Amino acid sequence: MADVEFRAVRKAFGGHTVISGLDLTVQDGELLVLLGPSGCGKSTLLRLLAGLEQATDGEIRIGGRPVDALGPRARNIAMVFQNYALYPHLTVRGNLEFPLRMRGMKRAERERRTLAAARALGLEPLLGKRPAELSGGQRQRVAMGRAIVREPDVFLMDEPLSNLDARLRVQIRAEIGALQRRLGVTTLYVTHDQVEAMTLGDRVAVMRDGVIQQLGRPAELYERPANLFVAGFLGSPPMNLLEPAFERRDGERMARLGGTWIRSAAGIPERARYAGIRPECLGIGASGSSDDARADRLAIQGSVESVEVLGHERIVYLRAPGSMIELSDGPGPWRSAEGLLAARLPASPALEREESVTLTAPAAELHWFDEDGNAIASGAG
Amino acid sequence: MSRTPARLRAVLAYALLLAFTLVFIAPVLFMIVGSLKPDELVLAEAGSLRAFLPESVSPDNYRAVFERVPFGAYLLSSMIVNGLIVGLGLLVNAFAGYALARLRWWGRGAMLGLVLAVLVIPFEAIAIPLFYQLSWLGWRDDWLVQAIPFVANPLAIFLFYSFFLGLPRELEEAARVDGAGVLRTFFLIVLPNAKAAFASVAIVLFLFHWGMYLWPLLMTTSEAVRPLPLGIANFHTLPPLQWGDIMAFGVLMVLPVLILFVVFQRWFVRGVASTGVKG
Repeated sequence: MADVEFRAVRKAFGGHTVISGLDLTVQDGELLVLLGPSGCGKSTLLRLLAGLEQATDGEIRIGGRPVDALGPRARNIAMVFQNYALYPHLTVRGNLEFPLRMRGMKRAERERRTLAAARALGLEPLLGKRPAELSGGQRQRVAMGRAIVREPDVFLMDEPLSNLDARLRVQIRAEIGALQRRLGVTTLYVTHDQVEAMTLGDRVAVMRDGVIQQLGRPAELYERPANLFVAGFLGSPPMNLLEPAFERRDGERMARLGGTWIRSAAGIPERARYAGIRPECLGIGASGSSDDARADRLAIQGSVESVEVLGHERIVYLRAPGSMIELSDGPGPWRSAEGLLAARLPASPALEREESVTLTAPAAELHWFDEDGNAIASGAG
Repeated sequence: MSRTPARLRAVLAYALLLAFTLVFIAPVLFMIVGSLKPDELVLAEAGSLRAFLPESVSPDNYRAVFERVPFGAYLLSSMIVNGLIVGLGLLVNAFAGYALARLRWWGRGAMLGLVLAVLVIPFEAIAIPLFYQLSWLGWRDDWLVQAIPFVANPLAIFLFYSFFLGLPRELEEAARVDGAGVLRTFFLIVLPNAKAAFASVAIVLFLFHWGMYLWPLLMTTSEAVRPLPLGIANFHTLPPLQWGDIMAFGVLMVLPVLILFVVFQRWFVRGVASTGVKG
């Protein structure tokens, strides 16, 4: 077991910087999830730690020991690859034994560890089979087995569930979580799936363009996103991001959102430029006056564009007046968009397409962000 | 209505294919049938369809081959020389292809370009300089000198290179993380998953060099180290000229290639397909 430290780590491929001066500490025994969109540098970070890539600058330590000059073999880490990377010509037993053979382990000890890993993952009946004869879930388990059999200091998992169907993903996700807790091995887990990140991670680091946007416990990230990117990335559907019009009335700063002028109880922060509201904070309410200056609730009226029925609840998408913003792939981090307002509503009453609806939420539920997209703590100026 | 032209087209197409097949297979059939006939009938029947019909089958011509020339010695030389070329060639070219496909080193791109450039230089163009070079070294008239210049083969390097590019990189990375170095990764992970490439390169090298004539002619003088192509040329000049015997020699010379192809056909097809498609 060991903690992992990245100190001012930078990685550039040619002239293109993928990770720029990253600092991160993963505690001993912790499962830390690196979450972010494709190309954000999360897999590169994992490969740097594995020794499959060399950092351009900075230092990486495992258990306090600098490992930059060491090859993958000397780092005592195990990695589960996205496509499992099982050796096709070896049986399940051969795959599990391979890392032990590479370390010159005695046959009896190899046998003992292989059987223990196989038993832990329910692979015993499959020991004589080759990867091509296994289902996706079984292959995934073999990949996990090959990682745990070595008893490494650190586990690295690079999107290990992305090749599984939805049902298996949920099942194996739970198994990975249970296994990691039982073994207590420091784990770095890379995913672009926020559900995996939220359910598995002791802590989650949200990454974008090689920079950690926010690091914290899953609930913390969800409840108090540090910036528009994190707010717009977490949640399904993610937070509705809006660009209100501001006005000062009787010394108080008011914001116009969806036709309603609102003020939060604590006042709208001076630096506020953007607002966000989680879909589950919205409910169906009575339509208010469009110029109701006393409102402590936001009320957005619009027509139902589509409804996703999930059984116990529905996701309702509302076409509403007012500017929404969305995360951008372009130069700026976000852009104005003719987006739809998402609301997570109970299964009844039923809503039809084109139906006019007013969605309301307490103004206190709004998240405020400044010009640069950084979150403004509630009540802060 | 539309069925007749379609059927006619099919019949014409098959007729054309059959004609081509006959053109290509006729010399081989002529050789096999001729090898079983008395010598005087081989040329006498050459102008008729009887050339392809064995009427009286006899092994006499085959017996004559072994009696008149040291066929066993020629065969042994060919086997040893080709064995060396294929055996060493697989190792050397696989290493080279792997280094070009996977390892990072200065000048890799230039080296790949050089390999591709060498691909278009015919051997005949360098045969004489190579002859002088090796003569200057005093290296002549043995099996090794017939094999060594052909061990590194640009086509084989390129076939391996394109095959290795198609192998999932994660397999090798997993092996490295599991504790294998470059050589162990190559021998334990890459090699067992590249059987198709090895088989097709083996066949390509073997086919290229089994019929090699010019180089052994330049480099050898003693019958003991001369390969089959020089043997058949020698046989041809040996009086009396017996066409039936020459046909039998030809069949015996082609036989190992045919056996090799039949045995490895599955790998050969797969190898050509995989190297071609993935490359």
